[in-house]
Amino acid sequence: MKSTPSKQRVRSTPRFDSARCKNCGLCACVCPVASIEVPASEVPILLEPDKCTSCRSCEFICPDFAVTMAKA
Amino acid sequence: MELWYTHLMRETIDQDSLLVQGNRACALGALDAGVRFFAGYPITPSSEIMEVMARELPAVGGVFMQMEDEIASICACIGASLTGEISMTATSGPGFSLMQEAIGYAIMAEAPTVIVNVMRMGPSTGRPTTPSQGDVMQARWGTHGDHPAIVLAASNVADMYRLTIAAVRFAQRFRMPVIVLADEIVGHMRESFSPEIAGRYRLTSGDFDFTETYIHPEMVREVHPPHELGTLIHPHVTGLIHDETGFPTNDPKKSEQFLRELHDKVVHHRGELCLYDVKNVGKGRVAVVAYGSCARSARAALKLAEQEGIPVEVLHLYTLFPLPVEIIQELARRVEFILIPELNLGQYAREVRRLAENWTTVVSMGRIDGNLITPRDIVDRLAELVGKYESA
Repeated sequence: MKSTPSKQRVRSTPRFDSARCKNCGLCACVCPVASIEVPASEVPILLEPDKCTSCRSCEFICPDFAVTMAKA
Repeated sequence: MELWYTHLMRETIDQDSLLVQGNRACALGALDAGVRFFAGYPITPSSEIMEVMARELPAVGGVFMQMEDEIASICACIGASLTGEISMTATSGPGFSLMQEAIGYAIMAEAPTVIVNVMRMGPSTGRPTTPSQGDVMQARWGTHGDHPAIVLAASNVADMYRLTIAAVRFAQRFRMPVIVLADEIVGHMRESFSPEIAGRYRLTSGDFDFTETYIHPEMVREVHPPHELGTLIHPHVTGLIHDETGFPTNDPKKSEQFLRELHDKVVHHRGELCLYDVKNVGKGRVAVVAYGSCARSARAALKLAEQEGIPVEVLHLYTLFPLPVEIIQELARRVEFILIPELNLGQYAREVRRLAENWTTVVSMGRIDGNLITPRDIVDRLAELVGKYESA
């Protein structure tokens, strides 16, 4: 059998919808790797996409459905 | 100076002594140690702990809940402890069996709680009002998986008070469930003791001092810091093997590291955890290792044996697990044999034999008819065995 090189898994990371986000900061609170930052009156930023574990806690907690997961 | 052991002091009959029942002393110890949540299901011979808690907890702003069974009781205690409350539950053999799965969860989720098991004769419903020490190995290995355990054993009413306080301290310090074993005779016995001894077991603020946050920059740490509820850190709690973020992981390296951390926090602090008392140090030709109600008989047998010309050393263990390895091995080097009286068929004797067999002979003395081992029984057995084994 020929071994095939394993596929690099692409993880989904959160996308923040500026039209829905009300800047509450909950997503940053739940992030287990503390890699979401919420600047004042702006849409949250994913600081280190490599650290994201795709746990979807931010998507789950967002009260305004402003977080969606998507692959890079 | 204001006394901190206020709950205990209410029992005093005069300044120097008080008369309390073992189970009541346990509940008073819990209240003085700051336990403010109790969930349980009544079961002989531990019901009095629950009764006292039901009466006293609301008065000090605590919460008492009677649950539908012991599974719910321990789960409620785990939930309460995750909110930062100091929680406790009490039960006996059959209830302790039901709790086993959740004890494993508490070890994994690192939720501190205290479980008091007032042992009855088993298996199953057994003889509820009869003393026994048959749950020793269940306390160590009852829940599945390779897990650490802290198990304390009370031998008298004063022990019930102070070991409950010690258990609260160990649970909070090591973030894991701590089991206090007592037997029916200790739980239902009423005796007097001096309130002064309580002063030695005060909890200091250092016992609850955890300043680190949940996410720690280093992977290897000895004791996980508690979750900070009500802050901006949102913890994830699971019984699955998890990494430093609190989320499950399948990474072999991280899994091993996590399990080793769980064990290391207990093993590395054995000096702090192992409470014991040696009588007649270095003067004995033979030794008796005992815990729980048998330790009282062993202490009385010491005097009796001396009168009959058998020099005995008595090792009274308050902490059964983690095993006091160094203490037992040191003892084994200097005596002819070790006799272990216990109210089961030699559960702890097997552990001691494992540690001491290179240096000495370990003889188990089990009794399972529901009666106590008397000092006379111990001395008679010692007299039978003296001279039979080669000196170490």
